[in-house]
Amino acid sequence: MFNSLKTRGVQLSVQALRSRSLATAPASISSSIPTPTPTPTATASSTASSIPKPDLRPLKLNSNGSRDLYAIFKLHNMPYMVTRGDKVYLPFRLKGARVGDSLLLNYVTTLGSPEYTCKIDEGIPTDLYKLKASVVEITREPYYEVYRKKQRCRRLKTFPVEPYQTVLMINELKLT
Amino acid sequence: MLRRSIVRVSQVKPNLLTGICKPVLNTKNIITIINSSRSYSTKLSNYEVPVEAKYDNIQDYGSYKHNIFTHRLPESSASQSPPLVALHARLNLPSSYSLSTLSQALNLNRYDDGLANNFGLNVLGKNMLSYYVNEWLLIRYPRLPMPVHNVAVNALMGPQVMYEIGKQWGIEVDKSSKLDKFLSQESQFLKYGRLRFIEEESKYPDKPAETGIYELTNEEVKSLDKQNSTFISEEVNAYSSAVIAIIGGLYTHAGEEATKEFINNHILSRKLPLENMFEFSQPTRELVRLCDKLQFEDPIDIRLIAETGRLSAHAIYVAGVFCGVEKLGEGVGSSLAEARTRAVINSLMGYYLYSPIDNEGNEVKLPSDEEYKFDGIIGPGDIAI
Amino acid sequence: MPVKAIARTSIARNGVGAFVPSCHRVSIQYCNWGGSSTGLRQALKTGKIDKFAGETQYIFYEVTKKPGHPILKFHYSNDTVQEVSVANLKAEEILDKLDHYSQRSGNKLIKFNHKVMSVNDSVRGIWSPLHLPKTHRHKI
Repeated sequence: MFNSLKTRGVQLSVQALRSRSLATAPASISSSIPTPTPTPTATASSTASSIPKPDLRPLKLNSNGSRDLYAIFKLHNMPYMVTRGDKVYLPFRLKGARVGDSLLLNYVTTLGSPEYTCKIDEGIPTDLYKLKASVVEITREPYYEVYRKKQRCRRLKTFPVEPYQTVLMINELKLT
Repeated sequence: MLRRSIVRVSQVKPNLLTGICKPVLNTKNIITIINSSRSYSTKLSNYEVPVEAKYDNIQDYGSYKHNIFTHRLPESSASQSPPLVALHARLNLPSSYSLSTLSQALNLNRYDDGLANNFGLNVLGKNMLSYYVNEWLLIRYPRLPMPVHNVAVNALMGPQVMYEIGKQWGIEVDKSSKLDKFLSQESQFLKYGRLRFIEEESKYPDKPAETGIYELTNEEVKSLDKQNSTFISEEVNAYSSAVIAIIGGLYTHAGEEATKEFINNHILSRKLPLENMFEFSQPTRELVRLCDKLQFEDPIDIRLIAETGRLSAHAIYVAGVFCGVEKLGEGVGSSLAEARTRAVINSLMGYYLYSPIDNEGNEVKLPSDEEYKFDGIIGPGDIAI
Repeated sequence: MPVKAIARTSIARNGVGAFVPSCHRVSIQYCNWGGSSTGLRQALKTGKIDKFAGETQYIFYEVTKKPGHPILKFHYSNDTVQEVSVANLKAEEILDKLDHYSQRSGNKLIKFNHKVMSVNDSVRGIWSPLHLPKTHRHKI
């Protein structure tokens, strides 16, 4: 399930809108009213399991019921600081993901409330928090052209550029 | 699963043909086409059902019978309407939610080939929606003043918001007239998946529309807010009614749990800008009264915490509101008065926007949740100045 | 009146809670005679578009026959219509176009130079130089 995306930090969990089920998806796809709750698998916490579990109670009590809470998750080793309801613009097409999919982000390095921060670079154990995102849009950046001068050619070469963009919406961020 | 509709052969302007179509379309859903110059001023609104009921005994309410016969769209016809099937899938509705109910929720017309309209579903949906929205607001923000609470309810389930939601759901309006549909050989099933609120007679305009002029209907005049010169248009009303009716339909087919989840997902998941909804006229006086009401023993004291210096290029002051040793709030301003007012408002907001959490630090449960045990607070009510 | 209320509307956050795809209608227009429609005709005939429509049940597909180059029209819920010409494209390429444009939101394409777009207030607030003991403040 985890290897299909070949990315540490993201796990394709549910296809809410896809009727065809991928091999990566768990067998129990609920096609009724959404908010399926996938069980987090232990794959991601293989490195994190050696870390002693931090006590996040002060953080939780300070976060006003997970409303004043931010997280920094990593995707392709790039950190993204998010709160619930934020849009994350990824400058690439996330492999295997389609619009409407739910992602379980399981490589979180920092969790913070107004007064406390928990920071573990190897990743906070996944059972301490829940960070979910849904793929909201897969689109492109506006078209532009890049001109390059090649050797032994008197003309400028034109390269069209229209990179992909994946937009994630942070669905859920809470401490368990 | 390919859904096909036939090509629009031609775009015929219906207003050019009204003269021809008068005798042809003499069906009962067209009330009048002749003399339709001000027809909307006399027509009944969509829901105003005339008293046409029959009864055996005036006091025996069980014997009341309507003489308007409506029927529901057969499921077989509804399932042939591609926009309806798509809407069902888009909203992720359970399979128990029948397509005919969804089609009914989109119908506001009184006479639509004898099909039932969404009046009942709308009433049901409105009850469900207002219950869950109010419950959520009252438990999550127990100290919200009444006027702000009302505005917050409107911000979550008012017509304008419901219209936005309806648009986002991709509901389309059935704008073309019968004649237009006939001429373009449009499939008759298409309209069952569209929002039907324009009555057939208004689809044949007797004069070309003038740009920059919008004539209000009676309903729209009633909703006119003279201060801001805004009104709720018929379209907004129709979208709102349809969205609420879809929620009502969900309750009839899938029960309360599913409805609650649906409302949570679609309506309560929106961001509510509560902190921008307050307008204080006399904040300091209000704070003093509030502290009296809360029986704070120490007097309120507004003090300067820090400043950049009176003679600095852009002086900044930090003021704090204190009650004994407790700091209630803090404000930054470019003058002493501004900093003071900001500090007072900050402390008032801290009080009004308080949201309780339980012992473990989770959000408190709502009365409709399982294993509900009251552990929030009850607000002491509004204060009078 | 102690507090007056200012009317505001709540802000939509599609994807928090439920996600409703923005593309709700696709009009597929092809010509029965022209050579530029060959790919689209083939996609329609071999049932490839049928299969795709079955997978994306949430979109209402309209197939129309009209002389001229084949066009795909994507209708989004923010009232925008995106027209894509699929003249002289192969069936697979047309399906790629369908797949790609139906996953857009209909908003204008933007280059976003930041990573996260947020409507929430910052959790930590803004740093202030005045919240230090007077002896520790920065002096010019």
